[in-house]
Formats: sequence, structure tokens, C-alpha cells
Amino acid sequence: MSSTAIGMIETKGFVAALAAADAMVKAANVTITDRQEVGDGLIAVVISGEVGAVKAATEAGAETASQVGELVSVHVIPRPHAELGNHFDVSAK
Amino acid sequence: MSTSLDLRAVIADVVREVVADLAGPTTAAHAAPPYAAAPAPPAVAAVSAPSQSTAGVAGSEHVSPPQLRERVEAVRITDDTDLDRFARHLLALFENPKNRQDLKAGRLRFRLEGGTTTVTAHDRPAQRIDTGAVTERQVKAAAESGRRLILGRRAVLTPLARERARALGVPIEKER
Repeated sequence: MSSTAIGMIETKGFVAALAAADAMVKAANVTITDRQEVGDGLIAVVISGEVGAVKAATEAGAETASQVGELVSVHVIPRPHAELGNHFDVSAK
Repeated sequence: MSTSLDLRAVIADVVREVVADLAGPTTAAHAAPPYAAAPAPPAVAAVSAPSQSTAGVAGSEHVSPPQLRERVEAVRITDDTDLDRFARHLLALFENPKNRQDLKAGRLRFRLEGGTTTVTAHDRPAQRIDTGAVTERQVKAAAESGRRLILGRRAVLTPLARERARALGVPIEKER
């Protein structure tokens, strides 16, 4: 689906990531598709859904993460290329 | 009889003033005699005052001749000096009752020449955010208060906030 987008929020610390993930799925019609822990306390949560929903969800998640812990980065890819799915665990279908 | 003569003289004076006002300042100078009668001080001042085109503001020029009733002055304001000059020119215009009436009635108008001057990003007061998420709400608040945003190294701008900042024209600087 071309209107599908993926959103990513990276936090330092598990609690902030969990709080952000909860805020994201509550804020809009999105699904959590992946959770990456790269070490050093960095945890990334990946969501997917419609572009507007993903933008709204990352907005809410980022705000929550910065209140609870430390927010590292937020990003939205509106129309991810199909090739991404071959190498990353993002369901951008 | 003397009262009817006085009345006639007053009516003649009033008609002369009205005609002078309608004809404009240049023809009024020829039409109306320079009298110092009390009943119509504005007309007297309009006739005796020098023409406002001699005010000599460097940043402004007349587009239409002063004989026309509706005038539009082109004003070029590029910096503080021009603005100051224009304000003084406006004061000089206001001392002339004819010009004052024209200004109040909208017959004398101004237009900016050479493009509009925009407020540069550095003229705005800055709001600094060091840590945490910079959300759409904060950008909207900054736009309403006319501020620019300075983000510290650990501040994170959300995609929605970035879009809103672009739409509202809020300058955002990110420190590296």
C-alpha cells in the first residue's frame, strides 16, 4: 500500500520506549511492527499505518518519551520503498 | 440690511472654501484670496501652507499629480532611517489641515515601493529548547508569539512540528 508509512522513535532506556509505544498505539490507528535494542540503552520502536496516523502517533509518542525518559530521535518515512522490507524488519507493505 | 450683507459675505466665503477644497491645493491657491478671516481656519491654512510635495522625503515620491483628489504616494522603506524619514514626513503632512483631512478620509494613501520589507529571522525574539521533544503545539505557540526556535543538541523536532513550522514560517535553528 503506497499510503502506508513507518514511524520510528528511539529512546535511551526501556521505560521511555515502552511509554512511547503505549502512547503511539493509543493516539492513532497504528501497529507496532518492531522493537530494536542496539545496546547502550538505546531502544527503537517502529510503527506502521496510514501517513497521518503515523505522524500523529509519533508526535504523541515523542512527547511521552521526553516526559518519561530521554528521547533520542523521531522519524517518519511516508512511503518506504519495498526493498526496505528485505533487509529491515519493517512491514511496509 | 447690514445683516443680510454679512450673511451674503459669509455664504460667499463658505462657497469659496468648498470650491477651493474640491479643486485641490494648486487651483485653490489661485482661486481663494489669502484672507485671515476667523470662520474657516483650515482653508486658510491650506492655502497659506507650502505645498506638501516640497517636503522632500528621500524615500518617497509622488505617483499622481497633486491636482487630483485621490493621491497615492509611493514610499520606499528598507531600513530604520527610511522609516524615521517617513514618520517625519507624515508629521509634516499632518500639520497641513488639507492633507490631514485627505489622510483621514483616505484620499491620500501610501503604497510600499520596491517590494515589501520582511522581518528577518534574526529580528525575532528567540525561544530556546535544550532537551526533549519539540512538538507541533510548541511550534504553534512560538508562531503565535512571533518567536523563532533555537534547538539545543538534545532537542528532537518531531515530523509534524517540522511541517507546521514550515507552514507557519517559524524559523528553527538547530545547534550542532
